[in-house]
Amino acid sequence: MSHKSIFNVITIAAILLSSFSGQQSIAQEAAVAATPVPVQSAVILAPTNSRISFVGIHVGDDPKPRLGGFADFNGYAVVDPANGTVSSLNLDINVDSVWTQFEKLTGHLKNEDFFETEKFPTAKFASTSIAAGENGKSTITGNLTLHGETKEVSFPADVKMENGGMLLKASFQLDRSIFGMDKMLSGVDKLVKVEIVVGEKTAPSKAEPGHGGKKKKQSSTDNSNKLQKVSLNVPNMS
Amino acid sequence: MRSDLKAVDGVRNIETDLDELTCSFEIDSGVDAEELVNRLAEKNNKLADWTFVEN
Repeated sequence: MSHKSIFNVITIAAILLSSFSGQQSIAQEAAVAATPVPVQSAVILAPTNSRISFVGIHVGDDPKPRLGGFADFNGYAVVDPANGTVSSLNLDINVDSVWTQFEKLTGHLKNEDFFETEKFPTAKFASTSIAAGENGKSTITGNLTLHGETKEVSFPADVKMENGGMLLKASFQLDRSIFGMDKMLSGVDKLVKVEIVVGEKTAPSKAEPGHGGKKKKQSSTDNSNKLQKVSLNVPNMS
Repeated sequence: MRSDLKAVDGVRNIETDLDELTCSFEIDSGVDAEELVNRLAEKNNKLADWTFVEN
């Protein structure tokens, strides 16, 4: 074998060794990088299986609670079925889908006194931590974007796994004023009771006309028992 | 507005409805309701454009 041939054999051997060594290195890197991914389930949340509703009350002696909610939203919860815990909750809400028991009230909630849906059409909740306690009692903390403002909120929730599915119920008071929804505070309480329920579908009440206020059709003066009842329209009251 | 009405002697059972933007209250039958409300409206511009609820 000539010197040139020997040189070629050595060169080929070196290339093969180098190539093998490279493949081994890649294989080792791949082996090191492989980390088992915990098995979790994402539960898709939608009005067909979940409900986001609220109850607002009036200030004063007669709270006249008003039920409402959102008909259009989507989101997901990340669930660890083995432990029966939720590790993440995310919701995107079409605020213009707000409904109440009364048509006129629904329109009022959409305007600048409350949600300003044309300016702020979406609301969003993204959990940042969920602390699981005993018996499914959890505390969900996250960022709520509402009316263009993002604030951290925290609320309790009951979480259960039942028949291979997930149930969640959270009920809490939300201060609308911290989201810049600070109109009509003298008449409509700033605290709104919010419910997020997974396992109950959204079923908006059939809306009646008007605001749901009492029909004040009394005479402006009603002489009875030496008293007169005076009923006023006060368009600037708010 | 409610506090303005509360401050008037003889005004009772004040109910405000912010949905309908109405306000109801009771006064003695001998009191001129229109004069009373006009007097309050001079001090409180929320009452400026008030009208009686019609039958």
